[in-house]
Amino acid sequence: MRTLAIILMIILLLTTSTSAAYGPTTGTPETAEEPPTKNTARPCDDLATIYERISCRINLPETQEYNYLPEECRNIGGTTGDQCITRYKQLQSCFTTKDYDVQISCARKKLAWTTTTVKKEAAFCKTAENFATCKQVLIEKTYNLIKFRIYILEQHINDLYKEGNITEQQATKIITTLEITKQQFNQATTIPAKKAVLAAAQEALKKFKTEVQP
Amino acid sequence: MKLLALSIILLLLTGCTPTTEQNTITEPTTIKEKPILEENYYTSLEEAQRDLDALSTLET
Repeated sequence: MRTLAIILMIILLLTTSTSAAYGPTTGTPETAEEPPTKNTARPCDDLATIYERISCRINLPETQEYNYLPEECRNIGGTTGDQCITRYKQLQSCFTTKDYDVQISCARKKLAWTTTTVKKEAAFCKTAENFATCKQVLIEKTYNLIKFRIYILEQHINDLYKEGNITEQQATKIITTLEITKQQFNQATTIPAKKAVLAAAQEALKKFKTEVQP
Repeated sequence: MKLLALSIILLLLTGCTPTTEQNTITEPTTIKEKPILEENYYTSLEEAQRDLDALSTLET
């Protein structure tokens, strides 16, 4: 009888020690560690392709959501590169809301718009004393607002992915296309050429829309 | 004998207590909602093109 009691005690002890080695919810060992990353400060920046970097960036934890070098600023050096990064940092603060109109309104303020439309700003420039400077500033502000519109789209797609409405592959593919759009937009030297870049992005977006919501 | 009785009670208690792991397995799967693709996000590129049109008025 005593032997039986001892055996039962041993079984009890074994059961307790086995369950203690596992986590409370997942059943996986607690000792599992994250794989080391090359750049711990900005983990996605060192990846070789834009697709890989976007794929990494959309999976960043919420606390590090914007902890990446913006693709548009990647190949720009010197002061212009720094200005590009600063602009992104300023505009990222407009993502505290999910409301599109509020985001645009916020960006206008950050980009120092005095009126609500390009048409009105252009009309103002036509009467301005220093037309050339006014025009140049307006061109810059307009281009930056257009690129912010694209960035809003990227964020919206990122949200769709995080909410589980689209796959990682779908999100990465379209965000990569939109990032390349911004680069091509910068490279295009005329307004018709820039419009053509935006039209191509619009087509890609239509295709994406059909894919995710047939 | 007392020790045996105590062991059996302890075993029964351990066996009857549901573990967290069991709860995780039996949790119902959440059905994902369809994507909400708000139209204004997709018309933003049209707005961008209109902005460029407005900008081109400065050229004339």
